[in-house]
Amino acid sequence: MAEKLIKVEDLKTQFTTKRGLVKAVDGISFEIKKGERVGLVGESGCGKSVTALSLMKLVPAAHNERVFGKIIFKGQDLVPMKDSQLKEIRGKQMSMIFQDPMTSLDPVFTIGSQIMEALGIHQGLKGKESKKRAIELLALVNIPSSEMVVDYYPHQLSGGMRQRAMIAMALSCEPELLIADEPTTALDVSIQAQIIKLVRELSANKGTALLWITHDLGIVAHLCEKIIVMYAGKLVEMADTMTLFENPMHPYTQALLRLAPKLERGKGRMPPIPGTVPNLIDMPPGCRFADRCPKCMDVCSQEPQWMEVEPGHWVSCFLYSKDGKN
Amino acid sequence: MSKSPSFNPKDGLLVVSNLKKHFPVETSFTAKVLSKSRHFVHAVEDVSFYVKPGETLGLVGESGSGKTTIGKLILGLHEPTAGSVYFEGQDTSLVKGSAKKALRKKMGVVFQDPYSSLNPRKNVKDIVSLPLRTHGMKDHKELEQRVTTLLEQVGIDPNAAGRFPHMFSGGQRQRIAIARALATNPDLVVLDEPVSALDVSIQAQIMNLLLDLKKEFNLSYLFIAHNMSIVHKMSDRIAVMYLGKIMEMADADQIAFEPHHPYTQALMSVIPIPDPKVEWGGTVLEGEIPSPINPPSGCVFRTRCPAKVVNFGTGDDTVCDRIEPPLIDLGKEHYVACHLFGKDSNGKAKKSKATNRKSGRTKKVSRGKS
Repeated sequence: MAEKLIKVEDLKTQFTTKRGLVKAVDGISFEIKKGERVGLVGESGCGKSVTALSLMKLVPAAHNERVFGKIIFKGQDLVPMKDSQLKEIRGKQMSMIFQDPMTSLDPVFTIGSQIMEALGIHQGLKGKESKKRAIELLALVNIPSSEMVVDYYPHQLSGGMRQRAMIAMALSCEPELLIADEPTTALDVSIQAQIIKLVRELSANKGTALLWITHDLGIVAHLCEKIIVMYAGKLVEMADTMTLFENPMHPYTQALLRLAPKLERGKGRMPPIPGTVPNLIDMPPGCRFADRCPKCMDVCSQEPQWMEVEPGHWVSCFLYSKDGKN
Repeated sequence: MSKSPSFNPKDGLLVVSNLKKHFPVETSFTAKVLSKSRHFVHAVEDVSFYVKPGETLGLVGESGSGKTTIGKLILGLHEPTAGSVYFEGQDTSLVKGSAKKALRKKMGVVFQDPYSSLNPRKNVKDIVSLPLRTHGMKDHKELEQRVTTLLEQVGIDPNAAGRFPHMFSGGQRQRIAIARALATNPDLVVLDEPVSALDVSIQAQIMNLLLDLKKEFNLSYLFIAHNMSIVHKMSDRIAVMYLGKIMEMADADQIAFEPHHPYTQALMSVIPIPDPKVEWGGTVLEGEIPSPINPPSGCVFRTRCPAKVVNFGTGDDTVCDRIEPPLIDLGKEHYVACHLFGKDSNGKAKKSKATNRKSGRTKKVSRGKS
C-alpha cells in the first residue's frame, strides 16, 4: 500500500501559441501510491486534463509543447523517454479513459477489434484467444450479452455502454495506473453511479491505482481516498478525502466546497466566488487566487510555497505559513 | 384515456394539459411502402402541470426524458401532437396572428449552451435588442437605453455592448442570453439547463442572478435541468420526468427529502453529495432508460423499478406491466404516478385534489411574496 507508483516533481507543461506562452501546468508535485484512488479536482482551464495528458506523454505536439520536471513511474523518469520506450508503459502499465467515448472509439471498427488490438500489441494474444479475452473483459465491466456486443460497432451502443467498453479496453492489460479524464460527465446520474460503482470495485479487486479527473467534488468524495485541488495551473491543496472535506484550508477549496451543489433544506443565494479564472497567458504574479480571495493579504503578491501543514495535508497559501513550517 | 389529472386552465400562469408530442421516425421510402406501421418517438406522453405566478417549477429528468421538448412545446417551437398549453388561461394553439406575437412577448427563453445560442456575427447590442425590434420598438435612443438597463441588470458593463460574443467568457455569455430573454418584460422564462455548461463558481453567480431577477420582476420560471441539487436550489416545486412522463411532482423539499416514487428515490440516492460521510449509491438502478420508440407497457419505469420486485413479488405481480399508473394527488400538491400509492381510490383521490390544491396554492403565493 505504501509503495510509490508514480511521483510527479515540479511538472511544467507549456504551449507556445501565437498569443504567447501558455503555462497550462506550472510546477506541480504529487505522488500516487500503489492501488491508491486519487481525485484531481478543478474548474475548466485549470490544467487538470493537461496534467493527465502530460503523465501519459500525450500532449499534442502541434502546439510546440514542452514538458519539464520529472514523472517517475516505478523508478523510471518518463519525461526524457522516447516513444519506443513509452510503448512498454503506455496502455500496458498505465492507461487512460476520456470524457467522450464516442470520439475516443473508432467508429469504423467493432468494439471487439479495438480491444483485441490492445491485447495483440501488449500481450501478444491472437485470434480466438484474443476474442475470448475481449468477451471476458466486456463481461467484467457488466456489459450484458458480451458475446454479441464484441461484434458491435460503437454507434450501436449507448453512451454508458461505450464508456464501459472504453474501461474494458483500458483495463485489458491490467494496468497499475488508470487515468480517467471526466469519464462520467457526459452520462446521466444513474449511469454515472453504475460506472463509479464498477470502477471502485475493479480498483479494489485488481489493486489498480486511479487518477480520477473531474470538476465534481461529489464524485471524488465517494470514490477517492486522496484529493488534489488545482487552480490556474497550480496545486492549491492536497489531503486525504475526509481531511479535505472536514478541514479545507485553502480559501479556494473552501469556496468550492461551499458552492458545490448539495441538497439542503432552505434555499436562497449562495455566496459566489467573484470574478473568473485568470488568463493562462497573462498570469498575475504571486498567488493566482489572490484577486478572487476573500482573505487576500499584502503578502499574496508573492508566490506561496507548496508545503505540508500537517502529515499528508499539503496547501499553498500564506495563511498557513506563519508558524515557520515553510 | 388520459392518465394525468386535468388542471383548470385558470389554475396558474401556465397550465399544461395532457400534452403529447410524438416525433415520426425517419424511415426509407421502401420501408414505408413495405410496412404500413410507422414508428414514433414518444418524446412527451400525457404530461400535465401548472406554474403559478411568481413560482419556479423545476423539471428534472435524465437525457431522453422529454424535458427539453416540453420547454419547446410551451414556447411554440414545436406543435403538440395532442393536449394543450394554456398561458394566462388562453389556449396558446388557438391564438393566431398579432395576438400570438403579443403572447410570445410574455415568454422568454434561455438555452443551455451560451456559445451556440448567441449569433457570433452580431454584437451584444444587436443580440439583446432583437426581441425589442421584433416587437416594434424602433427609436434608436429608446433601444439603446433599454439595452443599457438590461445589461446593467445582468451585470454586464453596458460599454461592452459593441463587442461580439466571442469576446466574453461562458458566464458572461449566459448573462447576455438572460438579458435577451428579459428584453420584452416576460412573465414566464423557460430556462433550459441554463447553468449546466458552466463551472461551479460561475454556476453560483448565474443562479444568484436568476433568483434576484425573479424577485425583482416577479417572474415565473420553468427551470429545466438534470442536476437535482441545482433544481432543488432554484425551484418551489419539482416535477420528476422519466421517458416522457411525470413520475412525481411535489414541493421541492418533499421531492428532495421525502420522495415517494421509486424512481425519485433512486435518483436521489445516486446524486454525488460532496460529503464523504453521507451514504451514497444506496439504490443504483440497473440497466438503462428504454427506447422512447417502443416504451414499456404499463408503467414505463417497471423495467428498472426496484420496488416492483419487492412489493409485487407476491399477489398481483402483473399490475405494473399491464396498467399504466395514473398521476394521482396525495394532497398538498403532491402527485405520484405509481401503483404503490392510492391503488384503489382513484376517484376519491381525484375529488379531494381540488380542495387540497387550492389551500396549498394560497400558501405558496404568500410565501413567494414574503
